[in-house]
Amino acid sequence: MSQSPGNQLLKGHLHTLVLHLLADKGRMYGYEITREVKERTAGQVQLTEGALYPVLHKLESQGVLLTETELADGRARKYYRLNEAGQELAQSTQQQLMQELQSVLLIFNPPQMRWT
Amino acid sequence: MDMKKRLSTEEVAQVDAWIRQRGFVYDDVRVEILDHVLSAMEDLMTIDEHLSLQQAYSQVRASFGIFGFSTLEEAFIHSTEKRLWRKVAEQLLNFIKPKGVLHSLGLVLFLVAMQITLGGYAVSAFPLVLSLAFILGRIHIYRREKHLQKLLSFRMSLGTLALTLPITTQMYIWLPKIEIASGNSWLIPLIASVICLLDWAQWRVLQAELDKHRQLCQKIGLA
Repeated sequence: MSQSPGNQLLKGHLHTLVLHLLADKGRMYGYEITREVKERTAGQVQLTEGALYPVLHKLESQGVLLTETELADGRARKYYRLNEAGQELAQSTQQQLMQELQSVLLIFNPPQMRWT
Repeated sequence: MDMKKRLSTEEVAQVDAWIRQRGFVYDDVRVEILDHVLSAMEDLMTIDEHLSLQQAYSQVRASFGIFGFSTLEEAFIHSTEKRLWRKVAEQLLNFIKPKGVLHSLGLVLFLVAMQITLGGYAVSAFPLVLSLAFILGRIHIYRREKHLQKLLSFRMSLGTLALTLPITTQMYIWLPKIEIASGNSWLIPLIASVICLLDWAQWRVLQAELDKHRQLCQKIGLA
């Protein structure tokens, strides 16, 4: 990830993003993931290849990703998709990230103290 | 509306040649690098139609970071290694599940019988002979499957899964001596069984990987 504010915030949650995108889109190839992140965040988060592929291959070695190579646009393309364990992991990591973000928001916007 | 740039066959061949020049010669690794690089270059050249092939390639290569495409190759090697050993572990677990446990018990009983009739050295020699047979089997597969030699994962599945020979050699030398010293007559058949099952599990994984590699080669047009 390059050094923009969005990237700093999401550092350490890259696998959550990748899992979520794959859960959302079904199957994707490497470049498609980087492009999707860029488009969804209007360029605020840029996922570099140097960060993406170690994550993809780590998830594959953990047994949560399946790969298939097919011919697309006249050339071989490797697609990644989640298996059942991957779907569950995507859901749990997303919930965890949302909880963490909500906790951070509480610091900036604390609930009103009630004096009774 | 912008027309999406599509690289010609000649341009694709040129980019492929640049990637090969950098030392990425294995087809399974190169396929992923090439597709990513070409897709990114096409996007860049769609946005800026004056960008040359060389400029687009340099920009994309730079986006891979200071280690370039090596990051992807290293990630590929690590994940393949882990995936292979995970599959071996799964196969080993099958030997203690209801379907496989009879084979495992049969092997243990066979080796115990061997221990009683022929002695500790014969039992220690059994996994050694089996390991050697599997090594010869791997050499035969490597020489037979010439088109698969271009796949890094194929080479890794032959190499990574051939690690029991040093263990069995040491076992053949030391185990009978340890058994005599400790007086445990069950030790050799038990350890020999585990080593044999490990070898057998690796062989099964190798066979499953072979099918996968053949399918991959057919898909990417290497067969």
